[in-house]
Amino acid sequence: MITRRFSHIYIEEAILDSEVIRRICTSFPNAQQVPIGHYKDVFCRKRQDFRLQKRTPKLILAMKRPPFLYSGSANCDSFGNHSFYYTSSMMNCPYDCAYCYLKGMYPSANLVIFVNQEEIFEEVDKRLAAHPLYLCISYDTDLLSFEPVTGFVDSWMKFASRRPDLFLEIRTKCAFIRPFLSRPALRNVIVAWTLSPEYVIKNYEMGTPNLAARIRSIKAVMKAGWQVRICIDPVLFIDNYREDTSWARHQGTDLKVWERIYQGFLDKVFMSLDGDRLTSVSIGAFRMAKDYLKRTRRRYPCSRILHYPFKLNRNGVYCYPPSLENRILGELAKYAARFVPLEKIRIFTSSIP
Amino acid sequence: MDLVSSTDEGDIDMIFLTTAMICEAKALTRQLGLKRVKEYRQFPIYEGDGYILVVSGIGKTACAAATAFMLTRFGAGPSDLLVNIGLCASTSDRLDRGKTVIANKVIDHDSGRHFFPDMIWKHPFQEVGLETFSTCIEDGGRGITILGECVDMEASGAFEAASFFLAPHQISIIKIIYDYLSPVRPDHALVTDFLVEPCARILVWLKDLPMEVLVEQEALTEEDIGLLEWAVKRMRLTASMAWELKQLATYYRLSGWDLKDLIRPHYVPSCKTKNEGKAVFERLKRGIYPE
Ligand code: SF4
Repeated sequence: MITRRFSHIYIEEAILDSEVIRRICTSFPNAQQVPIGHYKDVFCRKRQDFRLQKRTPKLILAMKRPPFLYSGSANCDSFGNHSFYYTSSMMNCPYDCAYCYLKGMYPSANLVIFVNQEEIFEEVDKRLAAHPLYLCISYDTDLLSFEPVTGFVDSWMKFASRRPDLFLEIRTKCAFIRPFLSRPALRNVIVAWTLSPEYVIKNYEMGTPNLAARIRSIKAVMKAGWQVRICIDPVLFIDNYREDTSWARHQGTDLKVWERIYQGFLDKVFMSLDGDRLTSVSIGAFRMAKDYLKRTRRRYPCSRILHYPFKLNRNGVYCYPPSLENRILGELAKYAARFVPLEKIRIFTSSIP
Repeated sequence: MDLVSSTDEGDIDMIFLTTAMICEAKALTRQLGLKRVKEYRQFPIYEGDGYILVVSGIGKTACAAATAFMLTRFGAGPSDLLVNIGLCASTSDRLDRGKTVIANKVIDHDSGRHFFPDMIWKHPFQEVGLETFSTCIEDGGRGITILGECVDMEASGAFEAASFFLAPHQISIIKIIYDYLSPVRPDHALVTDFLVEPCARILVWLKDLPMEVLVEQEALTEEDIGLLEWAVKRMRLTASMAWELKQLATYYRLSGWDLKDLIRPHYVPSCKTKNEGKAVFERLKRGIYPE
């Protein structure tokens, strides 16, 4: 038998007696607590089995050391913002999306929570003294999914409410929305919800709320006056491989099944949500940096979506062949334009040949 | 959703055991029916159905050497386990004599290094931090800073050596509390009897471990790999093209198709030049086969 999720909490000795640790640990009353010197002693061990750890992740509570802020990655859309930064209060994610780049990025599937949020706030204030800041606070994780444990999103909301030059983006697949309903909406916060067809959620986004639950949450948050962006990202190429008999179709030249799934999905989303009131809809196809994909494939040798014959672009990123990527993004944008003003649709392309 | 096409059936799970003393080993060898393997003179090694046990001698260096020897000699792999079993002392009388403990942290006293087994297996034992010393700690450990709740002389050696071969979830350190840092040396004649019951519980636990979770599943079978090698030679592909073919074949296989339908003599003619091979490969990639 395998231990339950979060059966163990590894805590850096320096913060063992702090209030925030006590608060987090109350969510796991039966967990075994193990004092550690530095989070890397556990997180960066040699030869860890990521796949196995993902089935039974442990929690690591640690202090974040500088740098506290990072420049945004070229594989992400900065939405035209020049001072585009991200910060990681957590490493890894309680969800288990088959296509997640974290599977190739980290040596371990255990979850690290950095508890010294105040120091990150201080760093943000320093930057704000020089210029406005666009900051993604749910990067390399889904921060909101752990909100009942950490309360970090709530603290960020409080912090942002007094700093009009700070623009926060919180990206999530979660349906937990208490931090947004317990206060008036903030103009400088965008909640970015990643949505996928139910087929994709069921098969490739393990542990995440279903589409209906996400849509319900979005509706409530929009009703409360918050700005919401919908991210249809990553768009996956879905085919009917169990019935296909042609290798050519198989490699992504037939979009029949894909179209049915993604059009049905957009119909469902915009039957419930008013596209005019969304801040934007961003669309991007699956992509992953070369080294991450290599490692992820090694860790998940039987994952079909990861073993698609992707093409390497000149930035060292694997993506669908340009012809396929252009087609699926184009089709999706065209269909989305039935519900959302064209100028609000942003397409992120990575298949630069 | 994703398809698993094969499991590596050739891999037999092995549980490797290490003990410091013969009297500790006896509590295991007798219950498991392990037989001494005569050919090894460096360390006493016992073998039986799914188990191999080495007796290292006392101390972390001896334990590291014996562990490395056994894991090398018997070719430890990703679906095996290593368990270091033996006596230990407790720094507190809150842990009863005879209690079985499992280490969630191993501290090497000399180097100050900490090692962490991956605690993925559910178990019935009490978890402790275990500190390994190079010498016997007597007199209740007076004058020495002890970080572990329990103390032994082998665990860090076993862990560090095993870490060269195995992942941290494949290594377990299980000890039985024998004393409380007292100067009394264990009476070898009594130790085996003392350990019989705790070892029986450990063996029941080991028997019930879901070892199948350790088995790595691969998309391509050995037959598939053979077929690919044949095709690579036939088409005279470069190393990077061969890699590309393997990637395609993996996707093909994960889609539930038989590789023999793609790679057959009719589609993969014997090529005389690299250019000819390249053209055939391009056709193969695009799924355009000769009728
Ligand atoms: S929700 Fe995002 S971060 Fe979490 S597993 Fe899925 S893709 Fe990765």
